[in-house]
Parts: sequence; C-alpha cells; structure tokens
Amino acid sequence: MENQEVEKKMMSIVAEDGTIEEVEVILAFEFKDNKKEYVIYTKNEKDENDNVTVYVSNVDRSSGDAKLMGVEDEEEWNRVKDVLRELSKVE
Amino acid sequence: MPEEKAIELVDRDVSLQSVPQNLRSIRFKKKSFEVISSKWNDFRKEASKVEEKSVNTEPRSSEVESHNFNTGMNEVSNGGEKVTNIVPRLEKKTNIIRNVLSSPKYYGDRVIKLKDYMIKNARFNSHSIYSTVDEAAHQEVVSMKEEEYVPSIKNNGNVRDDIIVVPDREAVQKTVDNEFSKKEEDLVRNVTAQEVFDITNGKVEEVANEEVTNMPEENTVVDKEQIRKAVDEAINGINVQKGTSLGAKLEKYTDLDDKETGLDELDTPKTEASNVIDFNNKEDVEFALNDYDTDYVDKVEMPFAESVIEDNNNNNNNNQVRIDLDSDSIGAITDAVDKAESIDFIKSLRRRVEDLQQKQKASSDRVLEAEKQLGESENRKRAAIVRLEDYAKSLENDIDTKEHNAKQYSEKAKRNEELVEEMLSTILPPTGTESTRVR
Repeated sequence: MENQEVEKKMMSIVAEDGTIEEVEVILAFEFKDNKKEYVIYTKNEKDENDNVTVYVSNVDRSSGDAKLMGVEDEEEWNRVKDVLRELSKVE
Repeated sequence: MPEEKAIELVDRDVSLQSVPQNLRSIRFKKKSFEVISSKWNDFRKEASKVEEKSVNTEPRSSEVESHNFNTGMNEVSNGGEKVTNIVPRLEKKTNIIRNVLSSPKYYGDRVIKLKDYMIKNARFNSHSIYSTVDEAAHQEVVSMKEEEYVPSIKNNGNVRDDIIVVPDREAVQKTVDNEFSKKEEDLVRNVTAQEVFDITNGKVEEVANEEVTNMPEENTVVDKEQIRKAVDEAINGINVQKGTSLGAKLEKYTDLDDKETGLDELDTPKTEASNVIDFNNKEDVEFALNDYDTDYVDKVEMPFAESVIEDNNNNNNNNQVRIDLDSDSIGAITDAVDKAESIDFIKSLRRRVEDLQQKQKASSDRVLEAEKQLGESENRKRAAIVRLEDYAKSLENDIDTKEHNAKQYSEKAKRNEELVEEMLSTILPPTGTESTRVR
C-alpha cells in the first residue's frame, strides 16, 4: 500500500450540449476562513507548448448536493489565483 | 501568511456536475501543472493512508466486529450516540434506499435502472458520516423531491441508454418509514472492515450496480424515445443557453509576465447570460454596451471561458483570438461592434461640440467687448473729425477775411499810387531843366 499510486479522481461534467465528459480533478481545497471550497479539474487539453488548461469552480454543498458554481467575485477569483500560484511553486 | 497556508486541501465527493455559468480557466505551464498534481497526489496518498489506518484499527475478525456492532447498538438503545453507531446506521440507510429504489413494485409506470449517481446522491460520502445520521438519512430519503430520485433528469444527470423511471414517491416514503420503524436488530448483519471502509468512502456504487444488473427485465418498461426526449428537455432547461444569439466560446490568449510560477492571467471579465462580448477592444465595447441605454445597443449574450497563456519564451501565438460562431452570431457581433464604434464616434463628437460651444461663448464675450471698444473709438473719431472740420472752417474764414482785406488793401494802395502820380504830375515842375522864375 505504501508504494501504491492513488487512482485519479474523476468527475463527470455535463457540457452545454448535454454531452457528458469525464474530467480529472487535480486539486480541491477549501479556504480556512470562509470555508469556501473549490475544485480544479482538467480535460488534459494541451497546446503546442504543452501548457495545460485547467478549470476552476466553486463547490456549493449548501443544498446537500455538491454543485459546481462559477467564481463570481473578482476578489475571490484573485484569491484563488494566489493559491494556485503558491501551489505551483517548487518547494 | 501565504495563500497556500490559508487553505486546506480536501478530497470530497463531487458527482455528476454541470458546467457552471462563470467557468474560469487558467493555463498552466507543464512544470507548474506537474507540481500541483504532485502535491495533490501526495495529499491523497496521505489521506488514504490515514483512512486505512483508522479502518485497520478496528477489530479485524468478524467475531470482534459483531461484538462491537452489538455494543454500538446497545449504546443507541440507551440513547447515546457514538461514532461506532454510524456504521450500522449507515448500512441501514444503504439497504433501505437500495431496496426501495431497486424494487419494481415501488416504481411508477416507468422503470429506472439505478445509476451510481443516485446512490451518491443519497450522500454516502465521508461527509455524511459526521452528520447526525439518523435524522439526516431519514430526512434525505423522505424529503427528497421526486426529481431527486431521478437526478439524470433534474440534475443534469446521466444520459445513457438506460430507460428512466420516476418512482412512486409516496410508496417509497412509506416504505422508508416502515423500515425505520423496525427494530434495528432486524437489520443487523455482519459488517466487515472493508465494507465499512467502502461505505464510508462512498463506494457503494459497485453494490448498487450489481443490484441493478440483477433487476428482472420483465419488470422494466421500455420507452427510450420518450425518456430521452424528457431528459433532453430537462437538461436543456437547466444550464444550456438555448435561444441565445451566440453559442460561442471566446478564448483570448496573451503573453504574460509571470515567469517564475508560470501562472498569470489577463483579467477579462466574467460573463453572465446578459454580459457583453469581450471582443478585441474589450474596454470600448464593454463601455459602449454597458453605459448606454439598452434601447441604444442590444446586449449580446455569450458564455465565456477565461483562459490564460503562460509567458512564452518562443514568442509566438500572441493575441490570438479564436471564435467559433454561427452566422447569426457573427451578425450579432458585427452589429454590436458597429454600434459600439458609432457610439464611440458620437461620444467624441459630443465632446467636440461641447468644447466648441464653450469656445464660442468665449468668442462671443470677446466680440461684445471689442464692439464696445469700437463704438467708443468711433465716437472719439467722430468728435475729432468735427473738431478738425470746425477748425478748418475757422481757418477758411480767416483766410477769406484776410484775402479780402489784402485785396482791399492792395486796391487802395493802387489807388493811392495813382493819386500820388496824378498829384505829382500836376503840381511840381519837372525836375532838372527849369529855372526858377521868381522876382
């Protein structure tokens, strides 16, 4: 078990046209102060320079179900970006 | 405190989801992406080790587990609520819901095959463990709205070849109530550590799927077309913006400066259904479309995905704009841009007119002042002319007088000369030749 890799965490997303696609969750975190939860996922879309596109959503569990919501507030969005910047730094 | 320290990584269940309205996206450099992925994987590994350790501290033998199980129930009957009680209660909930929803007799006219999302929607994730399970479980099942039994319709759920059923909710509710009213001893069965782990980690779909596949076919009513149509309508009514003039996704790529982390962003506005297009000259179009009466400019709706490109040492693909539009959308964008340009032009024209109006007023004031000065100078000029004329007149008069006098004097002088000549020629002898004859 020590050396066993964890399975990828997948999530199903319904696109606007109704199709379902499986995406990989690459990060999920919650702010300690306001308990807002975010999930970052990717469809492993890469450009010619191997840059990877990831998508960021707020997770709202207030209704019991987990629902993906957009990041409405710009200040909130800046905060999320700061987190991602920090996490992307090599330690 | 760095932002990283202000967060807590979490690994919670996120089942079938629909794309939110204001989806944000970011583009990571490969290395940055790998760093984040690595940290996430490490976190999940540690979390799974902790879970396994906590499970493994439970008694491993089935006899011991049974003992603990009974102990837990006794504690419940005595009114206490311990963590150990959660296992049997969660299992009870699992069984109730699974049995109810998989039993054809509780279905309505249409039959549904259980989807793993339904089980997940019964909230068999680790989060549920730490809630008040009894009340939560009861309420969740009993109070679930009809559509929640069919998440594939109302929750942008699965669209697959399965047929769909809407269970008889009242029957379900009644059954659940009956089940809950039974003595818990009737529901007891041996629970292995692995099952506990599976249940508490939301892995009941395997069991559910097994049950689904065992459902007798004769109990199913197939109406795929009708169901599929219902699903499409339901999904379309939720988050898909049908009927908007655009079904486009605009992605804008620009170079960035943050080379260190490989992450930076061009702040582009999020869009809602009524937001404007971000199209090339973003600020102008946005200003034009937002700051004028809606009667003046039609707002254009468009889902928007914000994306960012990393600083690119290869210096290529700057300022690419990729748009995927139909002809209606193109027309709408063109109109919007034309109007925005017209608005801009009119704005600048307005400013110019206002500026000129101010200058005109200043000029008018100066004209009035000059006019006044002119009037005064004219008066002075006329006065001077009059004086000169009068003086000339007086000079003329004086000249006339003098001329007249001169003439007179001259005539008189002439007469005097004539008179002198005459007098001298008659009286006096001629001088020199005559002697004087006086005796």
